[in-house]
Amino acid sequence: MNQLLYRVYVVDDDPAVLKALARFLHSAGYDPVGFSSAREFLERYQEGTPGCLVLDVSMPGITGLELQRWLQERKSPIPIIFLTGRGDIPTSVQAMKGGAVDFLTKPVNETDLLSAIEEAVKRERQARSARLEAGAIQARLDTLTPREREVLEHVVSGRLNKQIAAELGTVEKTIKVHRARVMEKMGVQSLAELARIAERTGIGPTLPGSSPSPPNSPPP
Amino acid sequence: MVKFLCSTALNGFLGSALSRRREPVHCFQQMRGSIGKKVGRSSVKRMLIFFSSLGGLLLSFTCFAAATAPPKRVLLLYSFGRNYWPYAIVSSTFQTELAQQFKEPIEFHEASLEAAGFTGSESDEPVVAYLQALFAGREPDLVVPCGGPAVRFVLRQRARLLPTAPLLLAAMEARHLQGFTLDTNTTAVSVTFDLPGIVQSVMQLRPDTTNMVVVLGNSPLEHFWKAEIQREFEPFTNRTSFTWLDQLSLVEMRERVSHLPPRSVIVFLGVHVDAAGVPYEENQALTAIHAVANAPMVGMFDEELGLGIVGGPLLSLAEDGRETVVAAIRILNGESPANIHTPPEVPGNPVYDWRELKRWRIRESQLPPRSEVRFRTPNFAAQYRWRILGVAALCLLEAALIIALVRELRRRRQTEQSLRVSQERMNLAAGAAELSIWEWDLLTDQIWASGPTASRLRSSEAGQSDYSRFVHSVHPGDRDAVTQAVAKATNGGGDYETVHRAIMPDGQMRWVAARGRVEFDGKHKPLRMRGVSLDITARKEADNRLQESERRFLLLANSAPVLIWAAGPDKLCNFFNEPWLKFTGRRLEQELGNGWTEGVHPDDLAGCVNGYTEAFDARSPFTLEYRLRRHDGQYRWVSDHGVPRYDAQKNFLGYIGSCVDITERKQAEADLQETRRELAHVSRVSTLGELAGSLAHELNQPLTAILSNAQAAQRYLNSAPVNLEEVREILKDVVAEDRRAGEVIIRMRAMLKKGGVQMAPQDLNDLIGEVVTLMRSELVVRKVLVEMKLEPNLPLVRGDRIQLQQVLLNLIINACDAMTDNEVADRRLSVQTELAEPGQVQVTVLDRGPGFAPAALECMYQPFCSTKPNGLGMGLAICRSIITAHAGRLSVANNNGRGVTARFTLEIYREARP
Repeated sequence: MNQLLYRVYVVDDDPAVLKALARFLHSAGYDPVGFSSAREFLERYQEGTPGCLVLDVSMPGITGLELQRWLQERKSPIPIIFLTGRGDIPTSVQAMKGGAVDFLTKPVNETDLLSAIEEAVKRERQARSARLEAGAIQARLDTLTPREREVLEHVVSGRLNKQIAAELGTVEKTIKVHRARVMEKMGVQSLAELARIAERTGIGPTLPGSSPSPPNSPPP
Repeated sequence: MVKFLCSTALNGFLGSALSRRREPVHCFQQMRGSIGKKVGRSSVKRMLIFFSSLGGLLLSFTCFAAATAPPKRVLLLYSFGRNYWPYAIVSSTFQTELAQQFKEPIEFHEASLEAAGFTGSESDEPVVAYLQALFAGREPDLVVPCGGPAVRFVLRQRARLLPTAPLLLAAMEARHLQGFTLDTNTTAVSVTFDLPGIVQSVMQLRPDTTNMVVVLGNSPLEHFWKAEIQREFEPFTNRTSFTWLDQLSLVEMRERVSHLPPRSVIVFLGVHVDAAGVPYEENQALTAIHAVANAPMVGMFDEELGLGIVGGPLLSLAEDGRETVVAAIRILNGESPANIHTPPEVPGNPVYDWRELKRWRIRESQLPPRSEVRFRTPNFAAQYRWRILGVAALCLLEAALIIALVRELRRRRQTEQSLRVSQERMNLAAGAAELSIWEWDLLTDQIWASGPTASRLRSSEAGQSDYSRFVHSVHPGDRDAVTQAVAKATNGGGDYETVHRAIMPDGQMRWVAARGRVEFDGKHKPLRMRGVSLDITARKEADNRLQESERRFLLLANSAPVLIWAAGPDKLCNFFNEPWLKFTGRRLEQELGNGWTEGVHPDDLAGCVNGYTEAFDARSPFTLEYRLRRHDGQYRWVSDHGVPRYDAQKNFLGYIGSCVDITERKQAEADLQETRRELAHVSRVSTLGELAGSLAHELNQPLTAILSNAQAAQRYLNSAPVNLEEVREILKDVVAEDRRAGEVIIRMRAMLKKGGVQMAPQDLNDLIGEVVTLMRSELVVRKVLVEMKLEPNLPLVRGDRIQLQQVLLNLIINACDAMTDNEVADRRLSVQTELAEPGQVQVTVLDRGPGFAPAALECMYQPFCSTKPNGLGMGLAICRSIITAHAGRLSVANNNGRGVTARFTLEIYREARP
């Protein structure tokens, strides 16, 4: 197996369909792994492994939609492309709402499937880089002292140093020092940049009078 | 006690009184010119008398000896006594043959040791003393000890007793010589017992023998032999047990052998002295045992055969005796005994007693090869052939005589009988006053008559000639015919015959049949006419009644609104009524016989004719349905019902039958069936409509596989190098998937088709499998789990595949519908097949739904009764009509707990399974 090939998990209870899909994906340059049921997939899938999931909707036991819901609850980032032999609108709406990349009807067109997989690859890549960036920011955030963090929250809320000093019961000069340290630790040059990073990590502006919101818990 | 016997045999005479069995009388002469003397079979007592006359014999010997050389002196030394079995055979043969064959006179001396001297003790002494005294100064020319004890005695006392006499050891078993070295003046003629051979022989005759009973005496010699026999029988003790009777008296032995357990065989080895000390001479013991034995007996010696032993390999003692004679003559002629070597005699080929074989049911095929069977008794027929023939001839002669006499008697009786009968008949005829005899003298015109004719003529008016009176008595309507018949007869025809009505004096009319013959003279002038008249009024009336009955039948048959036919016992039709002829538009002649079959529709002809023939041969009523061509060419269905006819005497007369036109009924039936089929089809289509989504999915699966496979193949073909193996695999899968899609389509099309009903043997398990496959996707979507409990050895049923599938489909969909509101885990339905009552297969579909409401239960088989929002209400009604048309039963009922059980049964297909 080529390490560079992109992994595609295929789940379908029909062995002939499963085999044909795997074969097609292999011919198209992917690394397909087939499962005949959702349960089998769950037993063998290692979370965090890169790849996407091509999933049959109606299967005995756990259905495609149920698997999607389950993964969603676990916040699994794997992108899902649904295949169905009997596409009805409520099902497709439910699937798309659940964050599916696409909802394709059988027999599935080559172009549709491949473009859906490309989309999944792209999405996953984005998600991964977002995740990496968030990780980096979080790492920097973790270097802040509690006081610096407080200052940061007030800064991104657009308050002036004087206001912050008043709020925190200190002098403006001290806030200025804190603020410079925060900028330095977070590796930003401008206030706008700091605000963007903070937003991405979920640190929102603190409204005057309200207590500062707790930082986001790290992802599971 | 020691007993001595001494005798001398003279030239010309030796009575071998001891020769005991084969030749009841011995007679021989020695030396020409001597006087022969017969000695009959003797008992021991007679022998004593014989020996007491010894003196006289010696005297005659002396006289003879004066003229010639002195006789040779031969001493015979017996172990027990001269009459003891089995030495007596040897010694008597020896004496007889030696006296015959040796050219010089011989003087025989005999001495007996009785039971003494076997082991060697002081009991030898008196014998030694006696013999020393007897032969002092002149030893015998030959000493012949007979038997083991005598031989041992002589060898022990050789030096003291007979230092120079030649010794010929005789009548003993070879093992008696063990421990002795024979000097140069000694030779032996011995026998060898084959003791294991006896047991083997028994095993061959009676392989199932488990008990061998050894009959043996209790003397010192027999003690010796018991030890020898026990040793040699030892290897056989794992196959059979040995019972020893040597500790019993002969009386006790007889008691024992008469109550032996089954599978016993007696081995008779001889009893010289029994345990009670009683000695037995000759064959006393053997015959005594044989008389009461309840098991077969075997022995060792040829001479015992015929006395009760079955047989086996036997030793001939007579032969041993002859061998001894040969040796004796050579010694007496001066040859050194050391030069004489006689090999021990061994048992010869097996010999059997036919009577004993028969008695113990031993087949001759069991005997060993080269066996000889003696004492064959010719069977009764052969034995008394001429006597039987004579008696038979006599019987035959007598039988013939008796038969002849009986015949004669019967013939006479028959003659008497027939005479009596004919007289009785005449009386009867006269008594009934039906037969008249008459004679008309034409020359005098006088008529003499008896019976009714007489009274008929007498009462006529006077003055008229007899002939005119006669004519007057004839009914006017018949007069011309009668007078013409008379004229024809008298004018040369000679024969007169009429049937006419006569008016009797009381005015009654009677039918009369008359017949007469005219006698003519030489010139052909009629002289007289004689004849008889018979009153046939009763017959005539019966005829009329019959005609009337027939007329009535015809009227009835022709006016009935059905087609009626009749056939004779030969199956050929001999009657068709007018409605039949009108219906077919054919003439009676065309229909008679088998002509009517021309109107039967060719497709129905074979069935019709077969049904007719089979019923006819069985004489059973039948109903056949077939198409019959109407006069307008249209074939009409008729139902033909025939029954056999018999006369009053139960004689079979043929068949009579009637047909009715049932075309309308047939059409109605066909219409009904068509309607039912249409309805079933509509229901099927609507059911399949419900499954449309699932069926699309079932088709989509193989199509998906095909498409993906094909696209993969395209890509592989564009890559380099092309992986042809992979492509080949892909194409194989494509073909398989295409076939799968095709099957789905075929199955669907079959269900959608509005075909006719095709009854054929069906495997319900297969049908269930197909239906469940067809519904697979539907079941997945509905999350219903199907549990199948199918009887693996389910017999076939007869039915229409599509219709039965329709029923199953309906029942399963119903079951699924019923469980829509169940928890997913509880949506389980079970499909079972099993053998129900004898000859029935049962299919059960069980759901876990809420069951039917009571109102629904009441109308569930009615059309348009539905519990479903979109239901047509036809499902169960159609299922039930289908199953009923298959001669089965469908029932639907609520379960005790919850859910519904739908169940149908079908009859097992009767013909042999392929």
